[in-house]
Amino acid sequence: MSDDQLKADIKAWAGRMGDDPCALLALKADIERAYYQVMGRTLRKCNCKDILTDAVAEMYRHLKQGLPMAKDVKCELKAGAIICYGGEVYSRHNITDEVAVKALQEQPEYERLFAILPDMPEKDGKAASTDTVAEDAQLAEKPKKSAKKAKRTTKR
Amino acid sequence: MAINYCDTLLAADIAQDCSNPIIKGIERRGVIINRADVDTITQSGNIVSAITLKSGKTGFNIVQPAASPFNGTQIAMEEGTYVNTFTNTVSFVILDNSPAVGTIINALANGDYIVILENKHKGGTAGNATYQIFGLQQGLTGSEITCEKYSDDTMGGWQVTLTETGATEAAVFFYVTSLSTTKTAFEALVSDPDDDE
Repeated sequence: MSDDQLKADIKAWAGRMGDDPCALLALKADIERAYYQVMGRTLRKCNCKDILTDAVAEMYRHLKQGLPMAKDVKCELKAGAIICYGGEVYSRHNITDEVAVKALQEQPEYERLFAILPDMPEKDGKAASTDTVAEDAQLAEKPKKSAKKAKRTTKR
Repeated sequence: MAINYCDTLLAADIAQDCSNPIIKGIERRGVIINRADVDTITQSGNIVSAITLKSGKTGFNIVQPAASPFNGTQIAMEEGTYVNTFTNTVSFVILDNSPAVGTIINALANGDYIVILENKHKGGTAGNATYQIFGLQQGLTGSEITCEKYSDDTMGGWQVTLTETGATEAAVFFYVTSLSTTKTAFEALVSDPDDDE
């Protein structure tokens, strides 16, 4: 499903929230899938009658604020970690790769707060790979690679 | 050189803050963290300004009924032979019973935890008394866990009491530069934040 289609669906679901709450029940599987893509976590397991309405409202508000979908964010801050950049405070719930890159360029010491680092642009403009599997495979092939890089991988 | 006896000396007036009168009670949501999952803690005196968990680890919400949340939570001084310490007690109910709850109870009975609670008394404009940490020094462990099937209070659910003994700080607070930043850091501890707060 394209991002535009997903956003359109969420907007349509939000428009139906005022209707019978049971109307969203038929869309439970779709809402759960969308919630994971947008918010990056599974919908909590409970029998609260408003759980689907709350989920739709949360996704709608998230997208309306212009925040990126979780599936599009590669980097991850550790639980509890916050970073300050551009007068804003970011945590694992609202960090974006773009902000993470800029913040790390300004303050490299933030690196220890990340569970997964974003793709950092190299000097020639190419993005450095942070794909864990690829990097692990690379390290396995070249075990004598720099200790610094090996340490970074271990931290994840 | 004078010998340092490490005596604790009083250095401030003891008085009521008339502009911010004390308010009893705790808000209905707290966060519990496995002590083993803690990566780093930044602390100055009795204020913690950062708690970071290890990669892949997370804190968990404790949500209580609106009436008297975390009822029974208290701090009490214990007289020691040479040093007096504090016993922190955190009490909460789990108004549920299921295989999943049984697994949680097993963990609570044998684990070692830090709990962060939100006081109703925020501590004035700075709000630095909002979040209070229990179990930071020695860890909270299960001291009394009961499931009374005919209890009118828990309706057959679980009553849990976690206790930390031997803490040398009477009260430890969680505060990061401002209340709003502290809230962001607090919410960052859990996977399922409360966006409405």
